[in-house]
Amino acid sequence: MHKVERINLGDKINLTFIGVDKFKTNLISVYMQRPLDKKEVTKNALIPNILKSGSNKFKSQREISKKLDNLYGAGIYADIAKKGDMQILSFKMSITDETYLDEKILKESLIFLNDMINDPLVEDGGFNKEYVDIEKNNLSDKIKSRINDKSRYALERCIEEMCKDEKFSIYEYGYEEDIESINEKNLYDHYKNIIKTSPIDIVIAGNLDKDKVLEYIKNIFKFERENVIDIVGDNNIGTVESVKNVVDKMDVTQGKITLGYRTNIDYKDDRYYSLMVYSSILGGGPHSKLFVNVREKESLCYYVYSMIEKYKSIMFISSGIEIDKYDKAIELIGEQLEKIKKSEISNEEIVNSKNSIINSINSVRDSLNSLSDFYYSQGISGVNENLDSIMKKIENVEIKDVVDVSSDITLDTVYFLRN
Amino acid sequence: MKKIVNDILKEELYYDKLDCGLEVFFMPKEGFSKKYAVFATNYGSNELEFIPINENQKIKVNEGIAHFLEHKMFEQPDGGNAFDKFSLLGASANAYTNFTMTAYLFSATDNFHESLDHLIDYVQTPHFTDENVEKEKGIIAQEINMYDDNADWKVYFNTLKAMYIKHNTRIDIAGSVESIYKIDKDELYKCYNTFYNPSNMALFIVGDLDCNKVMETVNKAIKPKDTLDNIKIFKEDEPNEVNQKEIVENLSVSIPLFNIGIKDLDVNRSGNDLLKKEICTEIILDMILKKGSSVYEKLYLSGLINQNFGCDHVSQIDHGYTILGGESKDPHKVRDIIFEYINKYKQDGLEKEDFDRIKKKKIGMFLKYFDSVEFIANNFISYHFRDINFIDYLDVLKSVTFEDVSDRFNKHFDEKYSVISIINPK
Repeated sequence: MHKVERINLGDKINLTFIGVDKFKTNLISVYMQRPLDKKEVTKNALIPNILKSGSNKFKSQREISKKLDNLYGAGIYADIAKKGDMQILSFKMSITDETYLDEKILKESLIFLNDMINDPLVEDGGFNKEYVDIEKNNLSDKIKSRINDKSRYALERCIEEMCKDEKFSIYEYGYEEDIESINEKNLYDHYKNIIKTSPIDIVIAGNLDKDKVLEYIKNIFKFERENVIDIVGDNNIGTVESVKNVVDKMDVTQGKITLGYRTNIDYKDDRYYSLMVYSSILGGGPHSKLFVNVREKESLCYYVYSMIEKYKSIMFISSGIEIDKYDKAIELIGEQLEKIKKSEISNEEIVNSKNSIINSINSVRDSLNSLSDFYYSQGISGVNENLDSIMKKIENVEIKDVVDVSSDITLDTVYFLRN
Repeated sequence: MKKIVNDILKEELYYDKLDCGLEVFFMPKEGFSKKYAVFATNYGSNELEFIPINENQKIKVNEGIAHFLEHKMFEQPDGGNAFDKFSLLGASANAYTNFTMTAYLFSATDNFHESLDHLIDYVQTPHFTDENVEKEKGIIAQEINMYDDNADWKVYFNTLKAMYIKHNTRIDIAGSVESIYKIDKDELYKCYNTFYNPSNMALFIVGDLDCNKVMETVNKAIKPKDTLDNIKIFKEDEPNEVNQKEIVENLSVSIPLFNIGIKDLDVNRSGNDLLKKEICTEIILDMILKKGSSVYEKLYLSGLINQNFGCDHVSQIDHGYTILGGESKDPHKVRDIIFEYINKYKQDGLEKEDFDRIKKKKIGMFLKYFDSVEFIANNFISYHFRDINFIDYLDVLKSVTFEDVSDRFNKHFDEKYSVISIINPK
């Protein structure tokens, strides 16, 4: 079992302590929230790799690496992610629990992580120019390489077209045309602003003494804070006037389809749990209607699934098919949604779906990273549920609740990547 | 039933060999919600020529059949699918086939014993009909097509094709659309009956469970069968040279992808001997090529590689190789710089300080891996088929000396046995 405590450290910095004794790892995560905004998205996307390139104390990637090796293979993970209308910067450090080692490494690791975030390599009032130039090139390559993973690309393109006039369409790794104007000085100024104004969360998880950790964190982590911003998202509820059909051509063997639906159900609404069950019945695994009818019965594809974009109240269905089977696939997928609307759901289907969701919620307890992300997300979205209470809500969903949410689900965009 | 305790890891492992020849392993993991079981056969896509059980003539089967068999094992005699019962029990099931083994697995937070019973039962209940075999072809063809568009997969398989002349590891695990369409139910049964004998299989279970109860479930579910003596498998000898130095293909990608492969000539080892070779090679990769090395720094700062650069070593009993790969505007230059450094280290020797640092790193990382039940189960089973007990890993790691590593470095890292595979943008 694990114990969770949220502690306000002042200056809009929260500490979440997750005490759990079964792991051999400790995980420290620092999250910063930014608005998902075209004006800063590209700069934000550069920050993780710049900070990992060198700090004031460890001036190169190589020195950082050697230090991490000497901390018994400690790992640093820094990245950005899109969560609804927010862009989240996260810095994580995973270390071996020092009780298994000949040396004490927790305090040193916390100092290391703080140095990376709060004492970066700064020269003449800016980041190191060489590192910024390299990472600008790398980011540009990364944006170009979106086409490499075709199914991911099909999903991202569907989002772009579907949410054209909404913040959510912004690509979290930014835009090539915005890279050029970024330099070591304006990027550093922007970073100082991130530190000053972003809501910050520190989550620390593992077999740890809470009082000791709290004291370390208070003494080690020093952020220069000013007026912290509030992040306001778009309204996610609305009607669809007509279905958009989008086709892209590329030299591919397999066609990829992604269908985007408006669910019109907010994650704070209790009906969200019925929506989770809905999506599981529809396309949440081998027990689902899509798997059974599109893959197993018709042999049309190898993969087909549905998923919910929690913070945006939308749902996607994805599959890879023979290009000339497009019409057949669209028809079959549509039929599965219709069946749920008409309450053609067996008792077995709803039980399987609920069990499958409960199994994955239960599994969150077995990963420090999942636990940390879960409690962080709950904290920032103001949803006051824990794993047990969510499972209870899933347990209580009935067929009629699933049918009830199905009437709100509307097809918005059909995207097809073909040759 | 034997019990092995590892004091550094603070873990225990129980082991038993049943009368039918099945080897069963159980590792308790107190406090974990997830319980995980993997039931595997020592049979993968590499086995294409053998004498089927109760026959005396060798046969050559169609490429991709081990993977096809994996798909078809889910078929149940009542017309249902093995997934159905797992779903009802709330377990999450899956299976995978690689070059050397086929594994069936599930994880469950509830109803573990029923799920385990079902796992053992369905893997022992083949049900192939002309109709259900035919139906699978469309699904597998789409799986093959999906990989055809996957540049990472392509660049890797082309590396194997460049390194190997005769060895079956040069053949795609799933076969080709052409080869799988030739597979029929008789061929599937021949493979099944030969390779899915309990004496050719192993079962690994991990989770917060009672050992006696686990063994009781296993013993009840396992169906008695005559144990098999050695299965006669035929393989051609692999020459001590590479097939082709370079292989280039074009796909819809934005920047060239590359793999540099180094073929391992020091093969036909097993047990801790093989494990030691693997660990030595991994330490070398960390010392001279990964982040923290001077060659990585040089390549990264000159913009020749990005964060995607990585390296890996594969040590199977009858073959092995090292692969370095990533994205680069100039893969040839990356290769030249890497071998320039390798040759320099050959003259000047490796650094003892790097060796000590990497050993420390590997000890800490190994401990952390034991926080994942999936990691534990999948690694134990794959090492088991190479006669390695994974719980010995730390002991072997600690026993490796700087001299062992230097010796392995001089033998294996030879430009002569290297190949390069490149995927260029179309």
